[in-house]
Amino acid sequence: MNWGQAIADAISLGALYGLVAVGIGLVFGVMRLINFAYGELITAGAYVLAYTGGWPAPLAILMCVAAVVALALVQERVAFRPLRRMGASPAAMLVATFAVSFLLQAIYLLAFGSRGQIVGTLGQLNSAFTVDGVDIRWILLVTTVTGAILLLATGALLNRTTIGLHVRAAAQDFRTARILGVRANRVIGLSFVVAGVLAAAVSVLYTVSNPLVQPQMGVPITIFALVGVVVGGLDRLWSAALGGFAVGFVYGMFGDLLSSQQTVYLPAVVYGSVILVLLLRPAGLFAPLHARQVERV
Amino acid sequence: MSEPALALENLEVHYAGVPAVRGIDLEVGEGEIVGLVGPNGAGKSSTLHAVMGVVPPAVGDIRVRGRSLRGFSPERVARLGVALVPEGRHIYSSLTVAENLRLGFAARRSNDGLAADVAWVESLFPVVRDFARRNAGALSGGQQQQLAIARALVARPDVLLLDEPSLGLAPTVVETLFATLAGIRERGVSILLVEQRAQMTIAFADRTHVIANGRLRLTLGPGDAGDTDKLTAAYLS
Ligand SMILES: Nc1ncnc2c1ncn2[C@@H]1O[C@H](COP(=O)(O)OP(=O)(O)OP(=O)(O)O)[C@@H](O)[C@H]1O
Ligand SMILES: [Mg+2]
Repeated sequence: MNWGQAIADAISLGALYGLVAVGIGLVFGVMRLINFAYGELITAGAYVLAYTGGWPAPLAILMCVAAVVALALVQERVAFRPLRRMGASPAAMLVATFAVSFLLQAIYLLAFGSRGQIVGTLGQLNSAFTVDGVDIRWILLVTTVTGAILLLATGALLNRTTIGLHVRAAAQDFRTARILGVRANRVIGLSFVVAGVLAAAVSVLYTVSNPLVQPQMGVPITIFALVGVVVGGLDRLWSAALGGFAVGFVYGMFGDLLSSQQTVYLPAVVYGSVILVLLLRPAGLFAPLHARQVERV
Repeated sequence: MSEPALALENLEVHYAGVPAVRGIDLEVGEGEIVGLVGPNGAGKSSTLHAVMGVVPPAVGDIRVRGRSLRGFSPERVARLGVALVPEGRHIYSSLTVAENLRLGFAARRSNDGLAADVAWVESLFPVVRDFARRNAGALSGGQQQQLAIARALVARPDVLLLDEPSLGLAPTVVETLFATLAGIRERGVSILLVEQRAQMTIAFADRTHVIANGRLRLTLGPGDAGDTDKLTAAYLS
């Protein structure tokens, strides 16, 4: 393994985690809710791909996006909206996202078994092209470009459309937005839809390099992205994206450069750093937000 | 008989069981300006929040043109033609002035006449046009207040609720503001004006209710302006 390949790996992993971080950050922005069940959306998308292996790739991907968006909306409708209506506390909402996460994992286990399924969609992207004597797999390029396009598209949706303006306003001060006539359910629904599309994209891109789908597959992805989100800060979507990118990049670099005996410690180091950040900034994790005292809906 | 633009009937607002508004009856007729003054913590903002659906009324009812707003979400109340200029303005400081104004469109029932409404609001408050591309957070307090009122007006409301719009404004600016409100009323907008500046409000509004401790204590007309004894007694009650 050399530097060129390590950097290519790191950039594409960074793009992937940037997408996850934005998906989580978008929902956090409007609901002040960290959705720990976000990774299970990615897992669901991966299962869809595994079971549509014989389909033409575009159709399988379309199916994946549709299913993940639907599941994201189900999460919102069935779990989070009723709790929000009941005026559940932020802590209760957070616990609910854990519950949804475990529930979905249990469903995957019962429905698809523990041994795992294999995704073959877009497997041909594992072939490599050569630049300056460095072999780079196509998927790295595709992931980086797709990630950049999706982030820019999300930015355009937020910055150039009326509903995007409503989402930005709701993220800053939801109560005032509603007083102005912004529909809470629409804004939240849209953020879940976009988060779902991003999760589906991650399903497609991630499974090319990691084709084995298991019920718990989404958990480390969520936690790693959250590390990035914590590092970057959730107050701005771009900082969350950058944080996600940074964590993916660092993880990709070390994953390539360290020997395999050393890399087994990598997750422990990353998880450890979450604990450290939480310990050092117990209340101030998302300090700028709390300082502004924005209400949750 | 025509229904009043806004009617509160025996309205009570409770926070965690503790009453803040204890049974208020109040009407704003079409094109009227009604004042609501009272000391800190009297329940003025709570009353307006109940109208907007931000807090549910514990007892009583709120009607807009006879239609009960019970159980309505804030966005639904806004889309029925009620606009609130909240206490403390609640401008989106990281959005531009133009974006803040565009947020006001959210409650419009129709986009007919949008350009004319914007032109009207810009003529009332030139700041929203002159600083359109600036971050709203960069405006002065008085300019932000103007933006907050402009944002409420572009929704084309029938009923305008203002929560202490004169807060932090110089006295001459307040006079201009009140003159602007009179102009807004000329367009058929009914106004409920919550204020700390009791004397100015009493002199200006068609009638002014004095609220203390969650109850209406006194109702005064412009002719009563300067009658400080009655007012002081009501404040202290
Ligand atoms: N969200 C809330 N939760 C609990 N209590 C509240 C809440 N909002 C207001 N109160 C209480 O209700 C009472 C009335 O408050 P309200 O804000 O309506 O007064 P106000 O007349 O608007 O006062 P001010 O002139 O200071 O704005 C106060 O005792 C206040 O402490
Ligand atoms: Mg108040």
